[in-house]
Amino acid sequence: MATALATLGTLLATLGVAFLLVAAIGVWRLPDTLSRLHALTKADTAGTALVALGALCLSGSLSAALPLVLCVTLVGISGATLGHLIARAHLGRETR
Amino acid sequence: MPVFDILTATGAVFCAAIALGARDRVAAIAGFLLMGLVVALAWVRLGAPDVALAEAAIGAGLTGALLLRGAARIGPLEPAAPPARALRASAALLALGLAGLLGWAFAGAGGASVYPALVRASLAESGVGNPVTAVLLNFRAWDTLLEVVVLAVALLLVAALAPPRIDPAPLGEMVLPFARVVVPVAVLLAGHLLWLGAEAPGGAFQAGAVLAGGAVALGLCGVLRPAERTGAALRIAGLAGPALFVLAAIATAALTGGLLDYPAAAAKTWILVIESALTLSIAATLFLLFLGSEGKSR
Amino acid sequence: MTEATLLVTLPFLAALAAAAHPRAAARWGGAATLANAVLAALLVQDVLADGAGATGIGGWTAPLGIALAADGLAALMVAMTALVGAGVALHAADWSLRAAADARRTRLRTGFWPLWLTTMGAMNALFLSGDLFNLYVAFEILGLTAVGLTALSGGRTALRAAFDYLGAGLAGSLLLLLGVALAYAAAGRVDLAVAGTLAGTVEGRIALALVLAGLAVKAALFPLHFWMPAAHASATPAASALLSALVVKAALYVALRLSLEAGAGAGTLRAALAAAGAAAMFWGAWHALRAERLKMLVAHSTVAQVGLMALALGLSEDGVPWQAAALLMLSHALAKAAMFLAVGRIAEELGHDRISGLNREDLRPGAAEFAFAIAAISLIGLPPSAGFVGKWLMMEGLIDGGAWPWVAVVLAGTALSAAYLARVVSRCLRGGPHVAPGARRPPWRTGDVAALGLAAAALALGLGSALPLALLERTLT
Repeated sequence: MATALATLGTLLATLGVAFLLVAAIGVWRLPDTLSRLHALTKADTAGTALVALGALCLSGSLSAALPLVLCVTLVGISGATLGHLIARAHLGRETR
Repeated sequence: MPVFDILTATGAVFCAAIALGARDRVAAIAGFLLMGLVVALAWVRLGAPDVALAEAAIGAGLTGALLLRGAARIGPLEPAAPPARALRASAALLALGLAGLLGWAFAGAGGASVYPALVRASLAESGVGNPVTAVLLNFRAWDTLLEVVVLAVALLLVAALAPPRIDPAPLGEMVLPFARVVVPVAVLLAGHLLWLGAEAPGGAFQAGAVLAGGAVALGLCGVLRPAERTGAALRIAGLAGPALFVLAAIATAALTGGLLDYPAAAAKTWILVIESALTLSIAATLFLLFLGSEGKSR
Repeated sequence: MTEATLLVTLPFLAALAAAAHPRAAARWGGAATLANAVLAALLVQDVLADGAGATGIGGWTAPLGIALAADGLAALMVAMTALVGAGVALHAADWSLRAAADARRTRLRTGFWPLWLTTMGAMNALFLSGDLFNLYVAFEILGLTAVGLTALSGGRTALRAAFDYLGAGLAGSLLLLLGVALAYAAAGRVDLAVAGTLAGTVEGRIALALVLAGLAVKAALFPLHFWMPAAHASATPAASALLSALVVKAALYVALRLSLEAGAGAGTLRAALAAAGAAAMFWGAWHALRAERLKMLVAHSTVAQVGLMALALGLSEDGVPWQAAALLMLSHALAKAAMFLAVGRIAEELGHDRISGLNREDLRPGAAEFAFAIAAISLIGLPPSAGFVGKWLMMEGLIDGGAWPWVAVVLAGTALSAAYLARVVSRCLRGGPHVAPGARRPPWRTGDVAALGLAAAALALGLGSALPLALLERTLT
């Protein structure tokens, strides 16, 4: 049971890191602000959530769940809001 | 782990180079903030979670807000001619020489620190269980008092020099729901960090920075409009904490005969009261620094 | 030790009160400066009667805690701060009253007091501290308040000078912090007594060198003085007096304290200090001789005088008693504060501070010019001033030690200081055909008492130098 949980945790965390890596490559390689933003917000939020889930499995304790869930929620909310703000600022600059 | 250490060390230097070399102010600030994050990681690796927390909250968090505000105030970077090659080469040589000398000296310095044993031996008398808090608010509380005065002087300078204030345009309807979540969480987190500081990593500086972050979010969504009255209230709040700390120092001297010598068995209460006042003052000061001046806006 | 406790807490409390209640800032400032002077006098009396005393702050003994140590040297420096502070506060209060009607000057009027009170508290804390890291923290406060005092006049040049000051101050702080960190790594503790052990190892000597380099930036010792003349010349008279007379002394005091603690172990550092000091004397004098503006002349004379004090510190192995450096610091503080206040008054009366414009027909020299001349006597080191006693101790030691080249250097520096100060004094002394029969005298002001009093104190301290010397005997070494 414990080893299975640990394996699952490592797997999830690795997947999460892969998502984050894709997000980073996207920011680096994509041509304009909006597509970069597109790559960043989604892959970033999903990646963080997966890493947190993996960490939860690895820790194996439920008391660690609360801060991790809080982290993921906050990252989700702030990621979405920031994505919106950056996009708005970008559009505002283009239309001006 | 050596790989991780080498990565953080080179990463910090790399981010510092970005911060110094970027042609654009915002890019330079981004480099600086990134460096704050990397340095916070380095502190974690060095076994100093308290410092890591403070660095993450202030160095990588609030400083960003302050710097971006400043950048908005002074305008874009004017292109300047790069300094002469000979000057740059000699500066690089000097810096490398100093770094080499320091590296050699620190590597060779073998004095065993006397402090860990002393702190361990006296921790039970200090009233708190977190050795960092014990050092900051009991063993070397005098250093902390003077540091708090430094922060108050920063506040005084902003009040005395009164840079023109910029009222931020509200960031739109999406930010309000964001603030509705983030601000209560920030208040909760600040209280948690403050209370936790007695036994585990945390304390007034970290809690104050988190609280100030919440206030900045309120300011950005246009709920906390900077006005002359808010400014004056913030200034009083910022000065109250240091004043209470100094008063506590005088009171301890009157009660026990020794400066900052807390009455026996009541040390924890004194420390908690001082830390609570400091948390509010640090938050008020940082927020006032963010707002610029309390005076009329431009 | 009650006085010591109050000396390091009351100024901060008054500063916070003055900042929270700007309308009564001058009242808070005056009361706190007066209280500080009384406490300083009591501390001096205590040290004279009972000798040096020290307590651990918080009930913790060093090295875990921080020692609050009041010995003769510390008490002398605290008294110096109190005396200069009282004079400058008198000048500032007089100015505050006259500027009360001017709304544009409100910021200047109310901003000065909290900054000065914090400076005073930080200076007291620094002089009474027995801990290397604590000294660094005190320097942090001083660095920020000094920048604020420079910028307070609000002009473009003042802001520019303040910004350069901030940059230089931060660089100095960084060097100081690096030195303290290395000292901790090398010796495992940071109380001041560690300086003795530091001098014994190579790493420790590098740490001491870093600390001294940081102090050299803060004391504006040649060649790290580049920020200072502009900063000291563009501030308001009261701020210039505080910066030049007191803030610079904080760094020199720590250097003196370290050289007392480190003993004879740091020979190379001493030589560097002496070389930089000698160079500063000539560099500062050269620029003072060529200065076109009065404030610049006085600011460059500070560069030269700091050089003289550094020379006295650096030559302590060649027979110069350390008391000479302490007395030179004391006399320079009093005389330079008087001089900056006088220069401010002269510039206000003339409407400019060009030296070539000091010869004028319609205005006779007044109290400010008189104060400048007396202060010049002390700065040059003519008897019976305190500056003379300091220089005499220095020369006596050098002659006894047979260090004749250094005797020549000190004499040359003295001659140069006489030359550049004479540029001003000689113009004020000219009478006869230059002054029209109906020339008016500048009106008497309460603020003139401050400049005259400080200059007279510098002169009188030479006659009464037994008191500071008796106090210095009670120093822990």
